Amino acid sequence: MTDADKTPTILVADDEEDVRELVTYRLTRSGYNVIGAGDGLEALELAAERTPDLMVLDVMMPKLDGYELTRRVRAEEALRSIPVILLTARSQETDVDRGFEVGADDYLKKPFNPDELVARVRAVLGRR
Amino acid sequence: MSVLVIAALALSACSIAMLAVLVTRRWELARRARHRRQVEDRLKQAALELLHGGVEPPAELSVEEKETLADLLGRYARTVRGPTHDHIVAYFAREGLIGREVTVMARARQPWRRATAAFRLGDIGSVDAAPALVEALRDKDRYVRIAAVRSLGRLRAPEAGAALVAAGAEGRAPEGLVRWALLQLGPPALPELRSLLSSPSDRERAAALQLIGLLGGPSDAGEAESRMRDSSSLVRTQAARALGRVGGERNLPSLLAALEDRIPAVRAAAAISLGYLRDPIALDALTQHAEGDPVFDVARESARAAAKIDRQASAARARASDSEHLREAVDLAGIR
Repeated sequence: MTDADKTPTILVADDEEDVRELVTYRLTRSGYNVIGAGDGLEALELAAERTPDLMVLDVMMPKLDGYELTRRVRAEEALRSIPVILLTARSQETDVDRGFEVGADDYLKKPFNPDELVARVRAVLGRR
Repeated sequence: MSVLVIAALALSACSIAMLAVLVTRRWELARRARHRRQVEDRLKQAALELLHGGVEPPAELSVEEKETLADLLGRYARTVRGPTHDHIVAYFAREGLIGREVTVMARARQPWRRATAAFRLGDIGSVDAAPALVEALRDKDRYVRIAAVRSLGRLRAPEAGAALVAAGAEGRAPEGLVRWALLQLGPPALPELRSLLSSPSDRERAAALQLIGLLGGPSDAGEAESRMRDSSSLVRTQAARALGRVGGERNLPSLLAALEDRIPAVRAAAAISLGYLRDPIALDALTQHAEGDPVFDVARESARAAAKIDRQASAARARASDSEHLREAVDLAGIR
């Protein structure tokens, strides 16, 4: 097994290109392989195809929102063990609760601190 | 050739010319957007390196490239906080861009330029811009004032609290937006808000009380209770609502007295707050208002509060008195 095989792959799904670029750049700099998706459906297809080690998902996405995407990931035998971190501008308690109810492992509010995102990614991957 | 034919030909020629202008214009706009996108793509790496590592962008950037980089960083700044955001603010400060936007906001003749500068200052996120944005709350153009409110909310500058309340109370900016901005300031805005309780404007006193109720704590209950005797019903209403959130058992007598206020809005607010506090001592007074208050809203809120405090007792009372409001409130409490 090569080093590249051991490097965790993270799927980042956000319809905002700026956010996707920021997250991708920061996670790549921290040594992860990153694949990006611009909407929920594309993210689900990519997840099925590449089986990432973790998913960072925006809640408000076209075609399939982050909650529904998480729910579908949890319902799929091959994907259900992939940890999910939700990243969203919605920050009310009920939104956070809903994220955990559908099976998310962690939650980060926008505007977010990229260093905190990396720390949470490490923590979630470490729990696997 | 008849006049009609000449007119038709002239109109056709005009239409073709107009179409050509529109097509050219559209083509030109698309070309500019493409060019801007190319410049942006070239600068993205430099922007991301600046954000994440504080690496300075190349010194030999053209004016166009600098503007594009500033726009790109402004967009990124909306999404991030912490040290990454600090790198953006430091870059803007070094390049003199904060001062430039402040000058544009204060002096530009076209309102859209002032509004754009006010908006950008919020994205940049430097608290140094807060005093200028407070000034902009008095701009003669509504859109500039709205952009300033939004930016002050993003900056979370507590010193803007009083000016924001005044802008909302005087109708210079939409109240909903002002409330959002004040909630962004959070508890650090409380000292400013408390000082507004002695304002001569009842709208300012009421707005301050509303926010103290949302942001404050039990130590604010005494001040809120004293405002229950304010001559303005707007203030008494907000004081009653605030007591539901920051008050406790010792404030019950004032809220029960407010149930007898001559203004229905004050009575309804008192009923809602008694429901929040859930003390059985208020049950009798609330059921009486649920059954007999002549104002629909007061009777409904009293019934809902009574059902919150004791659903069983309210259900028994509803059966005995045949009160529609109590019956509905008991049903709703059962659903929840």
